Amino acid sequence: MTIDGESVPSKYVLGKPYRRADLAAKLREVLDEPAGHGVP
Amino acid sequence: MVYGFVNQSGGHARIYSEVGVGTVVRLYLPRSMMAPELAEAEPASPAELPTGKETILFVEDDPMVRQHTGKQIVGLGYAILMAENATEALALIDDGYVPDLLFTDVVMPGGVNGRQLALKLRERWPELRVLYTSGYAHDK
Repeated sequence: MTIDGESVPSKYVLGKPYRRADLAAKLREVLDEPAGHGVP
Repeated sequence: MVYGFVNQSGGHARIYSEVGVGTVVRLYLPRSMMAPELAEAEPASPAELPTGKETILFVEDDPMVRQHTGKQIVGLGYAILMAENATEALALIDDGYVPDLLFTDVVMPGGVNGRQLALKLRERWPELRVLYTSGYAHDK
């Protein structure tokens, strides 16, 4: 999706409404990224 | 619209109106004998889900979503900091709390959206993980 004119990869966006399983998986996925990665 | 909804659900509506007094609308819906699909689709136990011990800064302006998701995050083992908007979130940071991940709604009242909040926090912690949530994400 686009936020403030910048495209943010879907990996870093959890669409509403979300289920507990999706939330759990997404939190772990983003937390486990190597340092220095992630959305700017 | 009301009639269509109730009729389609197998129920009925009763409307009583009195001039100068008001209107009462009662909707009667049949009780479902089916087990909730959502409950069946969810894993039976949080133990089956990925968990963590990190600290999540959760910023959400909808109080119901904030409360519900907050419980889910705690149930997954995480420590949680909750804020209604960016101003509250920044106040928590000023109080000395250090999150591992910012989980924030994109659209929020108060003049600072989730993206702008993330940029402010990244100035302090360049390695802060960020996860956005939005009701508009499915449409993009």
